Amino acid sequence: MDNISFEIEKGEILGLLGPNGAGKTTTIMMLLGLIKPTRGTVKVFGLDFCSNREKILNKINFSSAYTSLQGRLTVSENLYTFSYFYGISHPAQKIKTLLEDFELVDLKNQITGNLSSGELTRLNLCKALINDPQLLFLDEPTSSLDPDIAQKVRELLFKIRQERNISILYTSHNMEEVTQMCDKVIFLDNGKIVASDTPLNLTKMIRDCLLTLTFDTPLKKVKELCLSKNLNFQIPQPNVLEITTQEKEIGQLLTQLAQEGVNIADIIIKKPDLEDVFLKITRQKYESIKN
Amino acid sequence: MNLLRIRGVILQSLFYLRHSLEDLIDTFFWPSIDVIIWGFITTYFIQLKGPVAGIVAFLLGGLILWNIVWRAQQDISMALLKNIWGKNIINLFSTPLTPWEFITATMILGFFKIILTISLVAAIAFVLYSFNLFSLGLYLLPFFVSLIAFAWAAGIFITGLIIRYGMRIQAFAWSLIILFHPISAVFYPVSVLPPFLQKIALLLPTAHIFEGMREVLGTGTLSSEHLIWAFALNVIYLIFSAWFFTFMFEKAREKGKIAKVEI
Repeated sequence: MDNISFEIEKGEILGLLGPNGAGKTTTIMMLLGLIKPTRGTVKVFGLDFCSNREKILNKINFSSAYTSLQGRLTVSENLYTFSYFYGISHPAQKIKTLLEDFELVDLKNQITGNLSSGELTRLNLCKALINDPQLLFLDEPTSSLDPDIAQKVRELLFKIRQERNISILYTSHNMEEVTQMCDKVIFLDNGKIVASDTPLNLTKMIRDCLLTLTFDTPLKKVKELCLSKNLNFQIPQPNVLEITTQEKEIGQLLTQLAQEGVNIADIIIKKPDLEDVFLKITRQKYESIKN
Repeated sequence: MNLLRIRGVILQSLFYLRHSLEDLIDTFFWPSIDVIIWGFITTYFIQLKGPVAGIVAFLLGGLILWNIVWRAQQDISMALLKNIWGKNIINLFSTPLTPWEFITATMILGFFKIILTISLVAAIAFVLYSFNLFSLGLYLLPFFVSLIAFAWAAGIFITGLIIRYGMRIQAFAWSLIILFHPISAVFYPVSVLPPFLQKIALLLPTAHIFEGMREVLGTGTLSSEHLIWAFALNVIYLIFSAWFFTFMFEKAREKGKIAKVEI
């Protein structure tokens, strides 16, 4: 990591994105005190981590798709254990409430190792909320889940955020999920913050849209027309034309094509999303390595 | 040190024990089988009518006391390994729980487990072979303390190695202590070892304790020299292992190994 600093507002979900090895998980591990920086200091809630470890860790929690709870213990035994680590005063009541919130009551005596991925994710989230954290780190919480369960977990996280006003630091490889979940996004690359903004503003970094047209005009004519207008285009199928252009020029372009006699049967406009931003950043890195 | 967090680790281990057949086997089954087999072997030696006076006491006494070292060391190192195997280590150390609270909890629990194990095997030895461990009298107490102190020092040292170098050296948790067995003079006096090994053996508190045990069983008395050496060496080993564990934990944090300790 190279001198990174960022803020999360109360109740905000901040996405941490970047290619593999960019430093997303390392950032979280440093904030949890599990990785010691070679230089500099880690500050959370404005406090130096080294001298305030206990105070800070009492106010934060963590859940990851890549960690588990003790597989031999039952669901409630695991939660009891963690309630002691955080000094929870009435663990039984707290655990009961969490199990109800996450619909795990029927599984409270189930051995953790026998849970499905979705159930384990919900149990991890129970553990992550046992100390009513002010700040929650979620490292790819939905990565091992099928789309239906992943959507349920996202809804659950939204509910948690709304009800508890928790700040969440969220990493994921699913760009759609990040767009849907996060108020703000930080792009990391090689341990540095390379972009930071709202998902909408980040996508504005890429001005070009992909315009896909299905036509029933002779291919040769369409091709000549595109060349004459110096368009950035591709013809993936004999009756499909893909043009990369700026959003504001789409209307004028469609009018021109229609005036030139191109019979357009279908129009799809794909605006840039976070995935395009991600790809742009990783390609820039690849190009710089190549050069 | 926070007592509630120490209680949390003890609770986790007790829950684990409740669901783990191999833990119960490790705690009670193997030590019992050991005593039964060695008891039969000594009975056979006695039937040979050779110069084997007191052999039952020497062998069974040695075996029971060695179990203290072996089990107490394993209890510390295995507690960490169980959390690594369960992919729980990041969850564990991302709480306010400190590594020393974890170690302290495993030492406390290990102490009570050893008492149970030793009580069981001592009872078996008494019922089957009329060997009374308590014939060591009050000396049993310093022997026990000294052996458990050495086991903790070894357990803390091995745990430090595992946290720093990860799962590839996990076998140390159950094998490294065995290296000390031949030179601890558990079943034979230090004098039977080659001269260079005798010098190494006398650097181990265990060798002094087992020499002391034979002295008590043979003569009914004990020169304080063995006890003083054992305690002094234990102090050195405990201080060293505490420093080593702290050093290794910090190194593991610097290298990012705690986050990847499963590898």
